[in-house]
Amino acid sequence: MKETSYSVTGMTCSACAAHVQRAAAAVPGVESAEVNLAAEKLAVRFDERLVGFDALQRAVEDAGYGLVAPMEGKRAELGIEGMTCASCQSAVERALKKLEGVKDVSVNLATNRASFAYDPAKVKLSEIREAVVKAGYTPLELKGEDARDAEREKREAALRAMRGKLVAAVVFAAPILYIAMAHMFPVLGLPLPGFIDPHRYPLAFALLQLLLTAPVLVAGGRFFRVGFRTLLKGAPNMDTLVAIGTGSAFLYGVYATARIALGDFGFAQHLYFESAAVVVTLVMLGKYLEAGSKNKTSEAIKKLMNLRPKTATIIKDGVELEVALDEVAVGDVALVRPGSSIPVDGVVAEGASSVDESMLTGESLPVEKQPGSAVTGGSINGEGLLRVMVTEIGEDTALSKIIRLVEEAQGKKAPIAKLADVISGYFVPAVLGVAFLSAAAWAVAGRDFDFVLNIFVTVLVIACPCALGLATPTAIMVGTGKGAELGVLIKGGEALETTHRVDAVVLDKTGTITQGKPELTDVRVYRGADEAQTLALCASAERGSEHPIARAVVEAANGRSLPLVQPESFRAAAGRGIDAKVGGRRVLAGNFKLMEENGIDVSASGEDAKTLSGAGKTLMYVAVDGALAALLAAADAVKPTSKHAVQKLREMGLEVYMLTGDNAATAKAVADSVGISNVLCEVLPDGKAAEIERLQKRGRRVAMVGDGINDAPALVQADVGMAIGTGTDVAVESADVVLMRGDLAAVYMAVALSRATIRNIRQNLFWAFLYNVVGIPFAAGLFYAFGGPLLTPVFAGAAMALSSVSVVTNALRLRRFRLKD
Amino acid sequence: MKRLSILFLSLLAAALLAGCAALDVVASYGRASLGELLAAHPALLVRDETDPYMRLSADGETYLLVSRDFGASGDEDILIQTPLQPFLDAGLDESKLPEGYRADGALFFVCADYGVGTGARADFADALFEAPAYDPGLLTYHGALDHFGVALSHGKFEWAKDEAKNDKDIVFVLDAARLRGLGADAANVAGWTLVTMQDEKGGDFDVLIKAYDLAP
Repeated sequence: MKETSYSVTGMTCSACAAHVQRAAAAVPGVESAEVNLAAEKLAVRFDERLVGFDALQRAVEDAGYGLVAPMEGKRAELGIEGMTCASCQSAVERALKKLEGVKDVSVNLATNRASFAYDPAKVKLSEIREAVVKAGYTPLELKGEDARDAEREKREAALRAMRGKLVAAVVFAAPILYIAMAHMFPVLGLPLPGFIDPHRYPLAFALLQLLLTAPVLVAGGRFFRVGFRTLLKGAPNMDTLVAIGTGSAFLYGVYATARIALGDFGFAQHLYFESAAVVVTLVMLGKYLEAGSKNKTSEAIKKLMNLRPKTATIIKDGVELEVALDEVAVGDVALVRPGSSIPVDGVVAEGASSVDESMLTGESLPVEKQPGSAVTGGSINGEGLLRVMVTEIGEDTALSKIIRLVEEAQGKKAPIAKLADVISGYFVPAVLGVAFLSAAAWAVAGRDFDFVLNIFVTVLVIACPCALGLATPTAIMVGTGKGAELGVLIKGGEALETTHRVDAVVLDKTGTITQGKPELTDVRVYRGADEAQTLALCASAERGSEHPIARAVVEAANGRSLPLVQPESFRAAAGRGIDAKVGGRRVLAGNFKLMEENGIDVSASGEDAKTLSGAGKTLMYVAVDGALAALLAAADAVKPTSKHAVQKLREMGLEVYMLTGDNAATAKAVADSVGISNVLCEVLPDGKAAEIERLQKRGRRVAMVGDGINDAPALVQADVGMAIGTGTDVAVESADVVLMRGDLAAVYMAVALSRATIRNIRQNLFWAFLYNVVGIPFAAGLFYAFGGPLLTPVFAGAAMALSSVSVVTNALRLRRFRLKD
Repeated sequence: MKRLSILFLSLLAAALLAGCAALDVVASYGRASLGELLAAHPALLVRDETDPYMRLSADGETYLLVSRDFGASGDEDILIQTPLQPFLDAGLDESKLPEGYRADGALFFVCADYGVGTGARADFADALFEAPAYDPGLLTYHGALDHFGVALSHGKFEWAKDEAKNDKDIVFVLDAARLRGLGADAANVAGWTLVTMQDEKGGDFDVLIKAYDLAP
């Protein structure tokens, strides 16, 4: 099964999105298809053996839309010096085409540039440059772009084209609106030139408006092309409503003009050209503002992408070389000067500095880095000079993963959006029905043709479902983008929606509430055992263990320069400890359960155990050759922000639980220090998911926050799994939300952001629904029938454009989301 | 789009400049409908070739006089002629009559000057249409009554666009406010009806009308 997303073109409203979704889902081999109107993406899961891109593209094109082929590899443009004629041009083209992994080569002699697509996995840019040199020319500066850049360029070009057409429409529609206002509202006293006085020169009056309306309809021609095409395909959309409404108004105006020419001057009072022109212009304005806002909603991705520098300084054979980022390879040593952006992920090889990682993690304080510290591409170096050994490049870097995650999240639909989709699918045909029925009803009631046409056009124009279709995806795009800025990566609309409903938060202790880096604080020996020898034995046995307490023991032993040896055997008992053989001696190291199961008498350590665990320390019993030798205690300091975070979570009305494998005394001491009263202790690693399930069965909607491999099942079981970003890949993969910051503040930020986003969606849906619920009867003349006002097509068009703009503007307010501390 | 806009604006300007006259449907239909009315009711016109004015009347009392040659009629090219007495009875002070009005014996005239015209006219409608030729704004179309009209300085003469569908085939109209200013009680001028009309800006104004239905 392949899961991917493609860009869709030609969609203008939620009815279009529903139609594309149905068309894609109907292709045999497709398991699921989801369209995000705001992102203009189709997310599809399909069996590659049965269906490929071509079949999907055909299905979408048959529905009347376009599916953009994924760009293979990257595109780049290379300046070339030395070309003087067409044969030079051909020589460069041939040289580039010969390279494996390079295609779509186009060399322009006039601009001295070669543009091409290339697969970075098959060919390096340096090889491409070399090919140009071998051909006898000089490669100059390189300008690269990948699929995202290309997509952004296309969107911006489309926006510019929209603006041009909008300006043309306004240029012609403005005079018509003036003429209409001057004519319909003489009390305004707006002067009209004598030669178009509707009473004296009705034909000139009509013809002028016709001639001004025609270019407006040409500028807005897309509504007619798409609207009638989708109508013929049996899937009318919002463009159909605009096309039929304004088309009817225009055609009636043409008819009225003909009647005036034949002597029926009264038709000068009922032309409707202004309805057609102004409505089309207003709809174009609404669409333009919508498209502009959509570009803004994906600003989060733009910001993230801008964190990536275009070049890096690599040290090769003692020489500093500035190279394109694409040329950097794993194992290279990058020089990062003070104040500059770290180009790729790596490990500090030399130097020390403080690094600002706020753009990635949201963490405001710079982080100290020294040799051995991991650094992330996109973060900003402080005042020290660093030499960084590159460990990840390209799509494997943390920044690229974050961008991908945010993009995917923005493409995924929230359940609340599906309701709007269902409604949109039936909306347009229902509106067409209402328009015809209401017009017919007024005709039967004896109203003249003018009135009936007014009703018909107004209903079609006001009943735009675009606000409904935009209500959810725009808010989700802005919300997830804002989250990314704050270091909270929400993996989709569903996660967002579930997070806001959470009423219980379960926090894993080690690494979540605490630093996750315990230190050995106490060693108590028994039965005459030697402290140093016992510690050395224990540390040797624990060398193979990843457990934080084991690492603390090993570090302490190393700190005392104790000699450590390789154990002859090693076996880990999950949730209990280890059983190893070191220097021929059997060493057991672990918790009370391990000792109990192996029949080790620990009574000698009773008092010490009570005292140490009462202080919140984690205990490790050490037995050598079947007898208790020592009791070790390690303290894992609580993160400075944990207590405040727990308090904030409780203030939000959430029940906070602590989950740990520690014994009750240790667990309670830690819980008390951060203000948690609900403690789930002595939980074995494979029991964490069961604890979550127990809470869920009690009716709780549970968020689980963890960072370790053994947290993964619990993260999956929980309604919302939140992985601390500094945690393991498995935890991050299993989670619905990734908290890039290592502290718990990100948890209440995630919940607060999710609540703000859902609130925003509800506001949007409310207004979108209300607008249609009130607008359609208003347009159909229901209020007029009881003495109320009558809506005209011009005002309906304005209201319709306003509804879309207001929904998107409201969604953009989420960009100002801030946590009140 | 820029090229399209420039092209359209140019075509628009050219079309409007070139086609103004051809677009004057009110004048062409007005002329035609007056001609049809007169052809259907030849008795409306008083035939006297020696009279420098052509005369139209439905009742032999109130007339529309149109000069055969505007160049020879001074500042009285078109006049409404009607008995003076009803106005005097209503309080009109004939000593105060300004330009555009004249009392002569038992007759009251409302006059208008339309320049020197374009020569002698033998046809009543042609002669009347010398006025809008002088000033196109003098020719009007009143949608509510479906009437064409030629404005005088203090009055108007109107005729139905389609007499078969109208019960007021010809109408003489006088400015009531002006007459009030001259002392007349406009509501009590015998033989004339005071009517409140609405102008193009939606404002009210009073007129005295004498309307005739020519249907047999």
